[in-house]
Amino acid sequence: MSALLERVRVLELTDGLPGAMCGKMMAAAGADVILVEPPETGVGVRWEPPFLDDIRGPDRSGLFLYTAGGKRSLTLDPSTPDGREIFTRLLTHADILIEDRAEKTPVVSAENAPPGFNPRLVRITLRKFSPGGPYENYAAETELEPAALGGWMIQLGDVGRTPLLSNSRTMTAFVPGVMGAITGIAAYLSARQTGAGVNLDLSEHEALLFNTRYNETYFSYTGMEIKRHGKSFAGWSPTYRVFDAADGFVSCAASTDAQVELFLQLAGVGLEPFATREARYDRAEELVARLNDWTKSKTREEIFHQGQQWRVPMGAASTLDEVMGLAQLKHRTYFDEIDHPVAGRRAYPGLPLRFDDSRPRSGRAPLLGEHTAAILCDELGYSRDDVAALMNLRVV
Amino acid sequence: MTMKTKLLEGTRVLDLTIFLAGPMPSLILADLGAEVIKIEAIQRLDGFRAYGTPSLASKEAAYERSPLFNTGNRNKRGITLNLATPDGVKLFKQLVAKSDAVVTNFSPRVLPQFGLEFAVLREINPAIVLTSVSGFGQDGPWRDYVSFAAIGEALSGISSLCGYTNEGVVLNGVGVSDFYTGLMAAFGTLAAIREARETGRGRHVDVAQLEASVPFIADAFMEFSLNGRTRAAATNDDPARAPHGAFPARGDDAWVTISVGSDDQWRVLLDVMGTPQWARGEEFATLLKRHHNRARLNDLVAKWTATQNKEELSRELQRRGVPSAPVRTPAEHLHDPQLQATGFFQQVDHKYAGRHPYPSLPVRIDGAYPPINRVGPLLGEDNHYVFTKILGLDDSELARLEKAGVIGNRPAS
Repeated sequence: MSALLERVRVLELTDGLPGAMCGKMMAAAGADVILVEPPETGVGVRWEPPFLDDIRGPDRSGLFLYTAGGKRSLTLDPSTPDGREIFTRLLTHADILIEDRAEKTPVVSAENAPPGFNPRLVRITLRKFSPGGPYENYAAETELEPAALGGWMIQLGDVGRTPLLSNSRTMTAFVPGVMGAITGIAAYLSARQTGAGVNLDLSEHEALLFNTRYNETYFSYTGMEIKRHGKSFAGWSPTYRVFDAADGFVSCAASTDAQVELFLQLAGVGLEPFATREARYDRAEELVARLNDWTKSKTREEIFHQGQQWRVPMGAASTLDEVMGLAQLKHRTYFDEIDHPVAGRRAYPGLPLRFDDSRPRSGRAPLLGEHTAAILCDELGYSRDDVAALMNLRVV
Repeated sequence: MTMKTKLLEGTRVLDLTIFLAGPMPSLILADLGAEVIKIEAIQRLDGFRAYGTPSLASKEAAYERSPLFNTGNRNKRGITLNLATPDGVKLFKQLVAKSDAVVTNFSPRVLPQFGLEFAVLREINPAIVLTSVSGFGQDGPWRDYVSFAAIGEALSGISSLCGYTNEGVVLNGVGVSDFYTGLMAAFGTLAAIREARETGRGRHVDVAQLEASVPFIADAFMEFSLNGRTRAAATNDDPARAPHGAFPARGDDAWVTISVGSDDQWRVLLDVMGTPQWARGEEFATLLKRHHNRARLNDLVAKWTATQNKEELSRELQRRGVPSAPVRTPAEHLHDPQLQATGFFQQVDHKYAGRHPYPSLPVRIDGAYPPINRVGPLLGEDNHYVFTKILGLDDSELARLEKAGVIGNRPAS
């Protein structure tokens, strides 16, 4: 009997955020994820800001603490003969391999498989750009390039002003990671059924482009190019936009006739001049100004709840400190509280999935090499002396 | 090769979803080879059928010509079934008995109104997975509140991170919260299907847009959690790089990104700019100085880039190791050399909409994108197949159901 992904064995050889998130999703759902880390330094994400107390260190990165939750850490240099042998043995028992390193790890294929090798391996490779095109080797040290080429930047910002990237790297970098986890589980199910492994190749560039509002197809159908539109979203309704509140901003998603009419009623604005969709577009400025007069006299909280009670989709623009206190998230105990020997007890974003009313809780991030001895001795049968020797040789 | 891309062949999913976030998980499963049956009612079509059709010269079957609906429901079968009738409920239950999962983004109160809550579905088929996608989740004080992308974005804190420094909120045209929700729902559904195959027991998967949005800004949350700092929107500034952002290029709404994170990259940029006088002084001599003086630096770089072609400039900077890219618009994507080389957009015919490009699922399975075999579906297009081949009804029974308004292929007026 296995819960969700229990007993699915995953090897993760990644340095970047997409691969880290891919493994994180699987670990959160119960898979046994072994993070294979370079001895001494660990994986790249250990060195990504923000750091606890702004002090760099392998166990102090907020992104590592989050993405490595529930994984096990094995330090290993697979480029050495001993390291390669250990890696091959791990691979023999693995269901899924996640990797993003430019130098691909030598992987056993059907042709050179040792006895007992599992031919059902699913191999997920994540890159910034797909091979086979002119961007294949493009330099991208932040999220700017995939976001610019992947259709996200042109959709954020004011008309005529510089297009924007969000001030959160994970908004873009996690998209290919989650996409990798989804397709990885589908491939795992296929491999279990057919007995044949699968290679999956994903790029951040394409993952972002897929996750727009299908703007290219929209353009092909309509000749209309949807681009950034400041506080509003071009094309749906003049009322699908940001309004001012007395203490900040609210977002309104009223776009159907019924929703807009309810909003007008709630705000005490006469329906007559804005009775049709055409009239609302023709007099959009006046419409927005009059609704804004009402919103700016009220707090975000008041507008949010009153709007929602009237079936007008409204949302208070929350700052991060406020999000942690939202009544709905508290009621559903969304955030995880996790102890870590270096970081202490902290709140972490939880898995946004409940299964029969129960939310799987993440374990803590491992210390560098924390599970090396246990994996080598208990699972692969090496002796303590072997492990000591391998450590001296810097294989592990 | 094409057979291999059907990773979920043999998996059947019933799709009771509308708009964007709900149809997304079942779209992913359909692209991966599951047989997804999209269920509408002639009395209540998916609202997305009305979006994106304003400029059509002919209004004939306008509801079949929405680019958003036709893309978001591609590779799915389409049937109509009025769940507000006893016949509709009965047939739906028969389909549940022969399926692996049901995905819905109806409000939490709707399925129980039809007598189709999870306990009932599980009784019919113990292995069934029910994925409920909603704004705020299946319980809690905000359970019945409604959400769309802009709402999830605002409440989750995403809006607070997107915008120009100290200027308030701008909306993401991408509708990020819808996609984040759809991705999480797809993952949750597959994890539950895997478990059901092991144990014979399905799960009710509860996915809330507000919650699904939060992990995607985990870096900002962890900064708050570890150091108590509340991050906010900051235009395109990066603490370790300058210049860093999108700069104007020659042409209408043309922009090019430049990202300089080392002295070597700065020297290359200087060389490409022809080492202007302004760039030689102390003001921009080190990374830290460039960062401190980034407002002036960005202005000066922008004056120069405004005279440049974004394609040529980004290629030249990339050739010399400086991260740079043209900011692509939707129309440009269709001619992007990388996407053309990989065949990312697939051209597909549709009875009413004609031939158009559609984005592939962004994964190559043993080297090939999953094929897009059909887009749409047309309203009730697969009624005959589903009700006769899967449920074994005969034609006279279908005619009766159609007459009673339980099924059909034209919207009820």
